Amino acid sequence: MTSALRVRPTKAGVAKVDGESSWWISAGTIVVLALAWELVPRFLDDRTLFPTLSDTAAGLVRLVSAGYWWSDLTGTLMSVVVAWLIGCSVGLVAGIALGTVPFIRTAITPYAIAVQALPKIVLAPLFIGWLGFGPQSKIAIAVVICFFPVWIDTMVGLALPKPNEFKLMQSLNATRAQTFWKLQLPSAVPMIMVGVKHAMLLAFTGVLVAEILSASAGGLGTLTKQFSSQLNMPLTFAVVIVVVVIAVTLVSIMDVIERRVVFWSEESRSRKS
Amino acid sequence: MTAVADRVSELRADTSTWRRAVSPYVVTVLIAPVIYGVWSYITNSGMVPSILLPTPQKVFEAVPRVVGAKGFSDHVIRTVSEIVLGFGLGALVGFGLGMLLGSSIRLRTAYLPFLSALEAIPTVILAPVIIAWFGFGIEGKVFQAAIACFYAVFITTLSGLGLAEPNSVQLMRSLCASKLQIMRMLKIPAALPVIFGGLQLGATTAIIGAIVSEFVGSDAGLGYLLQRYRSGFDTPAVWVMIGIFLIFGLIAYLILWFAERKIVFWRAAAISRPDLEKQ
Repeated sequence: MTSALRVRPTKAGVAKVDGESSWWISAGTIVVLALAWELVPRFLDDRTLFPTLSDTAAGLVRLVSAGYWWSDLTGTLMSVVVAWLIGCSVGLVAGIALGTVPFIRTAITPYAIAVQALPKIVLAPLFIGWLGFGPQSKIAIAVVICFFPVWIDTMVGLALPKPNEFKLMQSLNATRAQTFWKLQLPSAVPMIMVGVKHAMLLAFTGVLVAEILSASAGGLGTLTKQFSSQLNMPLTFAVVIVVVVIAVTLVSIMDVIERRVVFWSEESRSRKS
Repeated sequence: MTAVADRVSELRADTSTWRRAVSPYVVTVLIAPVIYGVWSYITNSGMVPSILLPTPQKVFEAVPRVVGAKGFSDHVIRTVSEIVLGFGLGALVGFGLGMLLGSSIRLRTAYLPFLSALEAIPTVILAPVIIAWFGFGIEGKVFQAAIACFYAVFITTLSGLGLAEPNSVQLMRSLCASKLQIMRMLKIPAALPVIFGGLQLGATTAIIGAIVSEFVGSDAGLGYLLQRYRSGFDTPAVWVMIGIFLIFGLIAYLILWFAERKIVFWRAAAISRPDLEKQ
């Protein structure tokens, strides 16, 4: 595939450096940002659109103590998880089916590029029109959006071993299945994990877009849309904060899983490059 | 056992000669009519409801109607300028901040915890907020596209700057090169291939940001047009719009691909797809 798909934003370049104390920069930045958020809106003519930090905090307390939003929260989370599971399975199966044979991989590359180039979110209105405002349309959109990185990363990952490594397997009289299980899959797993993590974020995005577009479906996206159209900005920001917290939590969980599953990955990455 | 092994290697030899004889791209060309045939079959036989996917004939008939509609070019210009301005803004800010953090170890260590949080944020959740702030005009769409593509460019710039060989950095230092010279002559060239990866990713996300923002609320643009056709249950026209977005994505992809080959010319060989790389 192209470099866009091969070069993932890694944190290789942002390794922690010992001996340089810099916590005061992080803490200082947080304080400055918080102060700016609290003070700047007070000098604006229109405070409705830009709530201060304390307004937002009050909105968050109001949101969390209200009973009505729990179904929205669980609805969003359920849709994300279901869509992510389906998308990853589809992507993995498609990647293995199409990625183990170099001939097929080369043949379908132009189509893979086309699928990548299409902003799949444009299908959202169609799915909503077809499947209605329920969770099915949310899940369908999220699946279509999130299966792609898993598919591509599986395909690229299976092709990662060097020609000599394939030749070694051949000279050891390994069957195709053995080559797959012992050589291709282990070297593909770090890459697949990146795709799986990316898919989680994309599934979340897909569900939120579907919820924002179909305003009667329920879910955190619908809440944001409704609150902002009432110009109730503190509550809108409260929902945004909830979404950010969920997203960060999901990514942290994925990071932990990634480290557990591909504990050898840093080493293998440095070997590959 | 050996008989089986013989048979396997025999089969393998067979397929490899067959594969050498036929170019994979022959199959590529053959896939298109197959897709068309399946599309035509499942729609004409009623397996897929026409409200979701109309027959190919209907979609192609709708092309002149959609493209020839009054004001179509205005919608195209509107969406293109949203994407280009938003992508430009987001990429510029992302590159600048990436350079800033990439050139200072202290800043990088300080902001490391925030970076994964930035990665996680689904920017689309801000779409309703941005509509409330900026209204239905072009500014909100540019802003949405900019925040959508910022992160990819930022993180690739940041990690790209760390890619220069430590030995080369030491060589530059021993030649009395200033920090600026090391940055300009060594670190940025080393980072460029990675940054282009980020730009390509960012172009895709910028297009998504602009479209989502147009879906949520706008008075012009292709996303607005698509929503209008859909609420009129004109599904063939919706599919024509989807085709137009596909062309948009491909054009963005090709522009960046050519730019990459021109600017990162020394990596031109490495940029070619790995499945075509020989050894």
